[in-house]
Amino acid sequence: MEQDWYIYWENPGDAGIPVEVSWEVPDGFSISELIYPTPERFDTQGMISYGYKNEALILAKVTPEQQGHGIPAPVISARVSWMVCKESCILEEGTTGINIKESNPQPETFERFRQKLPKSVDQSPVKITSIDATRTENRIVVTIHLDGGSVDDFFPGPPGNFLLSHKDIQIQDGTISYPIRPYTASSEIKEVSGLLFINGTAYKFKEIIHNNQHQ
Amino acid sequence: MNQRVMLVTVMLVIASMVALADGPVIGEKAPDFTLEDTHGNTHNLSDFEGKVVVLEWTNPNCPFVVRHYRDDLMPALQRKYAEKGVVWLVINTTHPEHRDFETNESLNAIFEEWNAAYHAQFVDLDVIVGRAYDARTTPHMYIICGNGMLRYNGAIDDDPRGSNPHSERVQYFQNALEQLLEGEEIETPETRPYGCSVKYTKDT
Repeated sequence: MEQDWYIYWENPGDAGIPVEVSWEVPDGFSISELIYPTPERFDTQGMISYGYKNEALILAKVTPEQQGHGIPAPVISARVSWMVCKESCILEEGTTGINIKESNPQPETFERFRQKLPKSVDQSPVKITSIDATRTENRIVVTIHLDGGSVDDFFPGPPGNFLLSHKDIQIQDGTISYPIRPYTASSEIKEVSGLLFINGTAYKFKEIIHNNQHQ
Repeated sequence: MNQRVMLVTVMLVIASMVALADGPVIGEKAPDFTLEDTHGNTHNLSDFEGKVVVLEWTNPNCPFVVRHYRDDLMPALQRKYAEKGVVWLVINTTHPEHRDFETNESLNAIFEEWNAAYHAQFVDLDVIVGRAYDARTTPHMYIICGNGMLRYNGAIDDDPRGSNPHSERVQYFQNALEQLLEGEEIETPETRPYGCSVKYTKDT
């Protein structure tokens, strides 16, 4: 990207949209969901966004369904669409392809971004013990209970059909809590995902809500 | 009123508006405002009491807004609901030094070319009304009922890229407006808006 432009994480934050890819994969191969390196947070006057400035590499894993696919040079192509912003925003689209047999054309870049991939929460010194959702009319407070220390920061994953004001996330010793509102009154929140930051390392989690209470 | 009292009053008013930065609440009174439109006429929101009012935040330099106008989606909605007595107000909250800022003449020309059919477009130069409504993107849609209560706040639909055929998109805003006009409960009164961020400062 040109200097100071940025694209968005899978949860873009209060504004923005994430990258979308449609893949064309040959028979006998499957491709994973996008694997995101740890993003940065941008705060513009209380509007929070998560994304990548200047440079980003989002990964996806290709798996041959069986050994010996028999295709000499399988090609994967992708139509990618993204929004890139600096002061204004531009919606861009591009198509690209790669021959799987080729060796990695940019090993240093891949390695640099692989280092930025979040670890699994299983490796985290701080554990999530439970997650509650307490509802009062149309407002749900999600509380993540932690054990083993506190976290320095938390980036929530995509909230689905719920409104989340990212500046209202509160991190205290032992808990992370934030209010959300459902698009439709009857919706219940079922799971929470995101990144926990401890000593400069990001740990990725996805957990089911254990306790859904109405008040 | 002496100058000192006036100054304190102004500061208190501004402070209370900043405190509203969390945005208007569904089912509560929508914040009143006074703005000048692109033809130099001043209106208050309260001038339209008794009517259903739509507020549409816009920025003609935003690709999401461009798509909704070029594909005739927004103008079609504006025309349709004007016939049903809805007052459709467009609000442009763009910092005057931001590169997306357009003059009144330019706005009138652009929206005329797009066959826009709104009642008026207001220029929110002090960005106060945007802040009062916590307007975050362009487009960002609000529906206010005849009593002045906020009934819808959020996205125009569920398809930021317009990648699905029009008939397959969930029309959050239009569904809410139809339900309101039919006297039904609004099933989905609030959604996360999509679009470019509103340009509150010259650098955003």
